Amino acid sequence: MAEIKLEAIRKSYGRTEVIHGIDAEIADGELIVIVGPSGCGKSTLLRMVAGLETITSGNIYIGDRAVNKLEPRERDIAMVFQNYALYPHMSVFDNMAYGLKIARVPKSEIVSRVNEAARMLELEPYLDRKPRQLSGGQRQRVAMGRAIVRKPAVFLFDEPLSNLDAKLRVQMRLEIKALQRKLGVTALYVTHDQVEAMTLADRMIVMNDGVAEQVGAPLEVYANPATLFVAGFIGSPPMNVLSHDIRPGSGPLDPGAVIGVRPEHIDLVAPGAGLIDFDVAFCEPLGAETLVHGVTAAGDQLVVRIDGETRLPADNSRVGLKIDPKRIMGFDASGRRVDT
Amino acid sequence: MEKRVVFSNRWLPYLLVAPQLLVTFVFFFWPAGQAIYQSAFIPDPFGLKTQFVGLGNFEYLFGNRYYRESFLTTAVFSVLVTVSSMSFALWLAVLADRVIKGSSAYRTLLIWPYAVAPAIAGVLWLFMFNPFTGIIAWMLFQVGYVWNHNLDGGQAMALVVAASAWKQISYNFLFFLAGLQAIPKSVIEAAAIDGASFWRRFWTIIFPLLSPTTFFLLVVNIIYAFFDTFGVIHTITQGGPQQSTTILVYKVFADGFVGQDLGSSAAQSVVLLVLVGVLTVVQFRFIERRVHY
Repeated sequence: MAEIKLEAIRKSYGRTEVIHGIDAEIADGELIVIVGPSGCGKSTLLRMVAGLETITSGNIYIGDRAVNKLEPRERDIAMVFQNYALYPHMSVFDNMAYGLKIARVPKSEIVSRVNEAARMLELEPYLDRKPRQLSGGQRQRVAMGRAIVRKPAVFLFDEPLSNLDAKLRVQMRLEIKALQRKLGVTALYVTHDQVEAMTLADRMIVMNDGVAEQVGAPLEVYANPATLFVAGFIGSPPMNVLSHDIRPGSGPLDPGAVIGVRPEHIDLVAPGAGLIDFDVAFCEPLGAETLVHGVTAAGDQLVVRIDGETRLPADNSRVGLKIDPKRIMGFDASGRRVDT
Repeated sequence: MEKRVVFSNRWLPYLLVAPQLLVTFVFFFWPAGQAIYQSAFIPDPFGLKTQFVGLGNFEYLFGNRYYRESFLTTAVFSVLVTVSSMSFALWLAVLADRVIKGSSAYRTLLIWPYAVAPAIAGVLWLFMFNPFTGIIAWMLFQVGYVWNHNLDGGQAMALVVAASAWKQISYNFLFFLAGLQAIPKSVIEAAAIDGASFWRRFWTIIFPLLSPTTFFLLVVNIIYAFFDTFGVIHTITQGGPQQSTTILVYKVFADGFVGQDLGSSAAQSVVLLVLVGVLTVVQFRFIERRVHY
């Protein structure tokens, strides 16, 4: 059990700086998801916490210890890798017991701890098997088991679900969350999947290009994105971005500034009855909901999310868009949120 | 799934394998057959006629003290060559695997010795260790150690082992390095997080995962030590002093072409053939079973 504190973390490879000063405080028992597109530095940040990458500047604290100079094994952490990184020549039991054997835990305790983890993860029938005899989901569980038997202060997850198929991913996502709640261990979880981030996180860190764009609870980040990047990255379909202000009584936007509105905050009404009119290009009926794509007279592309049972507007027809002006967010030319 | 090519012409497949079969026949089956045939005869001193003696050559061989000692010499020699060249190569490969800057330069330099022919490797080491003019022999003399492998059997053995092992290190290095690079980095990182120190990781993760490579090299190195080291021994010691470096393959040559006892030489070839066959089977049957994961 421990808090984690990141203080102005930077990382450079030669002259190229890839992480530009990240600050975060993670409370004991919290599940923090670091989310961002590939190449944004989220895995590098996690590997710095693990001690697998050196820290160019800044400090990382786990509990009240600065761990910058400590080896991975001295940091009291456990990590689950994207490709699971199981030891291929060892049985499932030995994979889970490896860290305990190194820590010179008494044999009887090793057996009881591994068996308990195996019971929790439903791996009991497979303890004698080698990793190559297991399915992807089972390997994933072994990797989890290897992490939990050591009872570390911190769990680190590096895209642990991205090698699983969609159905298994949803199931394992729930299991990971339940397990983390049950064990109450502080966890850092890296993913590029915003749905995974939203569903798992107590709080999330949205990263882009080596910068933490926003730190906050999922719904708070969703409702109040601090930057245009966050607004576009979190939420599916992403927020609509318009380069012409449609708010009543507003003048033209500053050069480069935009406004954003979420697809579900728009209702279709009769032409002229809404804030603005738009021409429907086509509809995507998804069952529970329908996405209506179209373009405004000013040339801004928009997506509107309507209930799946609403009658679909015909392609190429003109409809009005009813938008609560309070739902519209403004962003300046640098992408920062400007509240008006 | 098995991929099979079906030939419409009956003779084409035979024609296509013919060159390989021909080479195998001319350079393996024929000489091997000749050796078996000749091992049953002894020629007269002038080589004009031969006399059939059945298994007489073999009977004489195994009754011969020098031949039995040559077995022991071969065993010592091949174990030393295999162990020293493999362990040294593994050590270099582990270091080269950790190097980030200029790793390709190290790799190229370490692979060079493999391009040196055995006889030339032997002469190189002979120059360095020549008791009268060799630089290393001189250095050893400066620190009070007298080096003369022409007189001291132990020193002679050490020298041929060093020269043979040195030549093979490159080959072993190359395979070990490839083997090391094939081990997923994340597995080693997982072990590091699990608390294993570098040496612990090496012995519990890296070494076991390298075992298929190690096993392959073990077979190759033993066969190398048995046969390909002829050039090294011939240039450095000619099997001496007092047969202390006469390994089996060198004795085949010495008895046959120097001693002109072709019958005995042929018999020794047959013994060697059987020995290597048995050794290889043993290695594959018993050791290979333990290297799968």
